[in-house]
Amino acid sequence: MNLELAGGKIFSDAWHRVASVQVQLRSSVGAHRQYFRGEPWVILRDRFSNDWFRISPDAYAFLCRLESGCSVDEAWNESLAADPKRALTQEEVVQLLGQLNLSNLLQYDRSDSAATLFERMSRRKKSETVALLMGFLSIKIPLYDPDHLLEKAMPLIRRIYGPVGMVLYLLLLLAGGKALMEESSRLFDQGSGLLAPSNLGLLYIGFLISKLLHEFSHAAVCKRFGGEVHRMGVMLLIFAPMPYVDATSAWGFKQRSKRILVSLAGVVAELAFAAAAALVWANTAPGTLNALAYNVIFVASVSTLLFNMNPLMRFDGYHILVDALEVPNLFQRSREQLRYLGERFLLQLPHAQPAARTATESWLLPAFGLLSMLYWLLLMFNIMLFIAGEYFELGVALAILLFFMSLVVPLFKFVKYLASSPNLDHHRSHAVGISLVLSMVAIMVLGLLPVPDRIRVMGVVQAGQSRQLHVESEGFFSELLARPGTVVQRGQPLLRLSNPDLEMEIRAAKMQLKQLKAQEIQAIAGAVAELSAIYRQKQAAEESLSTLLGRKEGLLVVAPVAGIWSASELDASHGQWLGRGASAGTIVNQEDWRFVAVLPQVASHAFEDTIQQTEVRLRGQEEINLLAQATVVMPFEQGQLPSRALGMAGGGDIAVSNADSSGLTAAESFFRIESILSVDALTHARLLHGHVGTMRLTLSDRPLFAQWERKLRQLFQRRFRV
Amino acid sequence: MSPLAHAHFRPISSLATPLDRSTSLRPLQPRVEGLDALAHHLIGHWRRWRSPVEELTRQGRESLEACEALSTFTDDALRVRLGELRDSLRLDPAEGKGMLIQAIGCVGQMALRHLGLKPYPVQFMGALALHRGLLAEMATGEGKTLTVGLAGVLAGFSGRTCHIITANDYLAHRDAEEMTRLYHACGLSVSSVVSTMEQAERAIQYGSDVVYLTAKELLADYLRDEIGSGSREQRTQAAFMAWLNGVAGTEPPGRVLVRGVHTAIVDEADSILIDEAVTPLILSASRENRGLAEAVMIVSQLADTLVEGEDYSSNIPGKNVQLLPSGMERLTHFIRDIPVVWRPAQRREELLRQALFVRHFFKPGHHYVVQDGEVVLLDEFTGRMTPGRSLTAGLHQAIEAREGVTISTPKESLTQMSFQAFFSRFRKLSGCTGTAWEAAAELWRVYGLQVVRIPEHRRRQTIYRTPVITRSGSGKWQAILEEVLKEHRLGRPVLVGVRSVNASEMLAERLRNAGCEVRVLNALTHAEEAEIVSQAGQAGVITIATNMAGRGTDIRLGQGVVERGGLHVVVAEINESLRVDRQLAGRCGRQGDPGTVSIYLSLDDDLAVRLLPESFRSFISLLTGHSVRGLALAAQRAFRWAQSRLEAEAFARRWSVLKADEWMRSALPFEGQGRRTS
Repeated sequence: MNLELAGGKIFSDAWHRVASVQVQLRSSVGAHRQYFRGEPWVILRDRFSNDWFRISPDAYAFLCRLESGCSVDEAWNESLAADPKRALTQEEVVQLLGQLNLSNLLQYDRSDSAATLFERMSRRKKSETVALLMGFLSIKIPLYDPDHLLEKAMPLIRRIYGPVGMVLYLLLLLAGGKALMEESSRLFDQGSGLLAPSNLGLLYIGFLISKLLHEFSHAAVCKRFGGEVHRMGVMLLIFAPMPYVDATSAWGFKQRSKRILVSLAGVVAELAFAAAAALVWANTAPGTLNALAYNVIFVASVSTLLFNMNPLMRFDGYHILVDALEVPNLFQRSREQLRYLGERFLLQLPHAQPAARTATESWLLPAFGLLSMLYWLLLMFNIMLFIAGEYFELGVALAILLFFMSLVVPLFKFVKYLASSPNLDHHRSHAVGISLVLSMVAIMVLGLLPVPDRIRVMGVVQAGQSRQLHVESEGFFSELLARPGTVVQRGQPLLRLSNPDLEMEIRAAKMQLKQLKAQEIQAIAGAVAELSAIYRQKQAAEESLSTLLGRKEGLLVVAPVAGIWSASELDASHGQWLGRGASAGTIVNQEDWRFVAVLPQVASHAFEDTIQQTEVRLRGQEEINLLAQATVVMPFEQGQLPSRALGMAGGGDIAVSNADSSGLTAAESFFRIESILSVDALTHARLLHGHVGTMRLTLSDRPLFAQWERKLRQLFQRRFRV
Repeated sequence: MSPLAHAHFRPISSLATPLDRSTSLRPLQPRVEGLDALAHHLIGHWRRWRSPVEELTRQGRESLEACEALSTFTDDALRVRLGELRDSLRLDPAEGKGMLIQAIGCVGQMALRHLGLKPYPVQFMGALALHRGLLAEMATGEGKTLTVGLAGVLAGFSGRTCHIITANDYLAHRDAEEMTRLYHACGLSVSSVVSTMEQAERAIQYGSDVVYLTAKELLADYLRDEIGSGSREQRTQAAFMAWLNGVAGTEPPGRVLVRGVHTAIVDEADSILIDEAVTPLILSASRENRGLAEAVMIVSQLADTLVEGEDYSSNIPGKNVQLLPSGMERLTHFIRDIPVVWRPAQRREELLRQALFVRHFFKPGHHYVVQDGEVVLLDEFTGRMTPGRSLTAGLHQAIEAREGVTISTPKESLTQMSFQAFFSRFRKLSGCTGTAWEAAAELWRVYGLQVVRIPEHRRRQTIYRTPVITRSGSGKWQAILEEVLKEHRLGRPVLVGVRSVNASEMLAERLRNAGCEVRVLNALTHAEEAEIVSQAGQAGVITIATNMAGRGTDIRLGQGVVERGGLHVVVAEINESLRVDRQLAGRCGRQGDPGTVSIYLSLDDDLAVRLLPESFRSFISLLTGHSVRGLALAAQRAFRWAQSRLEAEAFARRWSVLKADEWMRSALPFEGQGRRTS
């Protein structure tokens, strides 16, 4: 029974247990007032064990009566006589004393109850062990009591966290910011190397130093405002050692602003560290110090703002949010509120108790709950992928654990809740029925209802009919007669080449012919016997001339077909030398376009399935949906990619062989998917040969479960080659 | 550290003497949790599955042989033999140095000679099961009294204190009386303690070797001793100090339970260990509370004017009442009249809720009766009056205000203990009952009692008639009336079991109007119980009884009744537990006699209204009247289902009592009287 229910029962059947006992708070327990949402509360805290308890002022008034050494019964009678309206009921007293005693905050005049003390201790130890195992992602190992050290450092701390320190701090931030501004180009150039494996060591060192400062800053500010810091140690955050201090005594501060300041202190210190590092980095020559400073700039600013200040993770940001909103136990209560919403609106329990007490809380709590839950899942998923990439077995183990924790455990808890929760009394069959129907619907929708199954692949646009233009005779590019990218007619001259050598050869050939003609006339006059030989020579010379003339004609490149001339290979500047057979662009027929895409072969289901619909969206023209027809999937073993853009070297998905510098030879086998873009596509989009786009294939409908299962399998196959 | 120094620091509690072990309760064992609890549960199943019944059967047969072998002994020789066996049992209470079978055979021979009853093998089996600390399920009418008697003699032989727990005072007295000759013949003293006895008389009775009494009496006396004269250590210390100071004769204040507790044999174990264990036993004293009486009166008057649905809502399945805003508003008008202690909103609303709760869920004649200007509660399971018992403060006064009797001062509890905690701490616990199998898992979990089914001596001849289902309550009573008259005309004795005093009076009235003579056994006529029961088996006698005529009531058939078909039992109102129904049905067909049982179900029954869905009830209601085959059986199934729901709820309640008890013990460990000596 909780304290709220106990309010109605003025008499308690268990009164005899406490009536004659002289009991009071332990002498090590201190009490002070705190306000939560305008309501006064009394916070009890044991200095030795750091145990906490929050009670109402009425309850505290009763505890004060007990301090005089009277028995519980006497104190209760006194309180009833003094102020009947605010006196606790017997049941409240029993519950209060019980809970305080379970928190080890009481001492009493009974000698033969020490056994329960040991019982409580062993239970507490056990629950701590369980908590340690459950929270394996952040294990805390206390090592050192820094209180004495901080005590000695108090003069320094007062100075740093005082007005002078603040001014210096702001100046440091300004200077650091200025340095970064000035060197901003260099700053981002180096950025890509930050996560490179060779840098990870330095990064971690930077991380460690800034976190150490962070924690000390918490401790110092906590101490500065009169708190105590007794624990400092190592926290294994996702198995990476990290310093931590226990500044929880700050929770006892009366003023909210002080509590917030303690939470903020860590980030404040890190920002100062980042600013100092920026100054070092900007003013040193490349070297280890410089590199370290560079790492610190990022670690102490970006990471701390992203993680420590993120209220969705239970770090400083969360505590600040809790204090700022004055919603204690935000995390826990957000889950309770979600549960309430489920109970009230899904299971239709009329007596469900909301955790939210105000209108703001009623939307704030579920929103926070959902966001933090999604965030947690996302984070876990990414951590899992990351670890699996490095250590496959560990990653799989984590995946199984994640699956277990996010699906099996909640499901088990839910079934247990349905089976045995006292909240469901008299509505149990109703609730079970609703859950059964809902889960049936979910299973039907996910497991049986076929929905469109789609895959997306990258590909390029190719013209169905295209003519590669080749230069027939070599020469220098001298004149452009048509603009590349425009429509050209058949026979239209496109460009002219000039070849002085050829001109010379023609002249030489002509001269030779002239000479031969003269010789021929001479021979007719003189030596008839030589005539036939000269005749043959002349024929050869004529042939050679006509060849040369033909080559000269070839210097004028003419469109062989009508279409769009694209000539990406041509250097716009004149004077480029084009060898014989060199490409002079492509003339593309506008009527007929294909889209060629590639798909890794793990997605083999696309090969077996019938393709219902194919749509294409081109990069840069994503708003236009192009329909494609006659899609064919062809297996290609380690073939040539249709375009460099589809390989990893060109930014695509398919791994390419390292041996091929052109980036066209695929390292893994893939499917080549070809489809014909429909005619109306031409009217809407500007198609260019070689344009990259995404193709969406709609396969035959299948249930979501089947699709997810396949995607997971493919993810594992591709990423981990299982 | 030297061994000597070690011994010096040994805690006092481990110095318990053997005598202490044989007279005190075991310390409470922590309840197993989590996987251990699961394992414990599975062990229970395993043990029940490979039941020791075969070995018991063999030993039962051997016991009978041992018994018959002694038939040639003279009385004196037998007495000598018995003395030897008694000595071996005293030395080795469990197996009697291998002479256990001989001993029980010998006691059986004594029973034959002094009671005129020769135990059947199944009775030997049952007694052996009791001796082994098992819970014997023996069919109703198999002669459990003698079985318990045999086991009681064995326990008495061991020299340890033995308490035999019965379902009520009447049975305690009757059983002790019936068995007296056997105990005396075996050289043991026997007595019974009933609620009307004074303390001095009790102490004398408790001095006997074997004591018959109810669980309530035993626990109450135990608790009185506990709070009465300090803890065990203190008593020991006081005695030691008296001896040290040479002040002879200053004995520590007398205890009621002079011999302590050691062995308990629980007759009707399911009733005592399960049904009655819902509420812990609370020793209480009156304590003046200023203003409670006035506040209760004011609130009670207000409650009479409130309208359900407008001012408050009641949830019948959930057994609770909720105030609506208008009800709370109306309560505030009276705020000036209510004494100041009760003015805070929570408290005054609690009083109003209690007043409304009483109006909805406490029925006079069913839950309580008013006698001599006092509200006396009735026991839900036995239908008996429980003078001295009261509900939680406020609720009891709410009933008194409603009935217009003087408002009593609220009781303040002095100490309390749950029956679960009490019985599970006995050094030796065993029990027998007719109906335990349904509750076997709970008995194992809570008390560590293993249920063993003892076969029947003779096949039961009871015929269960097809249940009768009626649409309305009035139709049901009419049908019962007709059936009773029909059986009455055949000359058979008829026993009608109803659930409330009012129902018993109403039915008796109608039967009297029909010209029959009727005996009514209910809480108000409990004085004539023995006489009514002794007549109930005579030809043509009609007896209407509340649950009082359930457990242990032995209805012996009169002359010529067997030929007419034996006793006819009418279960007029189905109970909240199947076990209670089975107990009532078990009144006929005892020891192989013929008998018939008919069960009447009505859609107006409490059980149906509370638990069966409206749609189902209207469906059944549509079909009744048409001769649909299997309808009654289907309806009976549904009622059984409702019963199992209630049993599960009751278990949850008992479990929460246990849990609350444990919470109290760990959170408020202030039970010990010892002040810290500083």
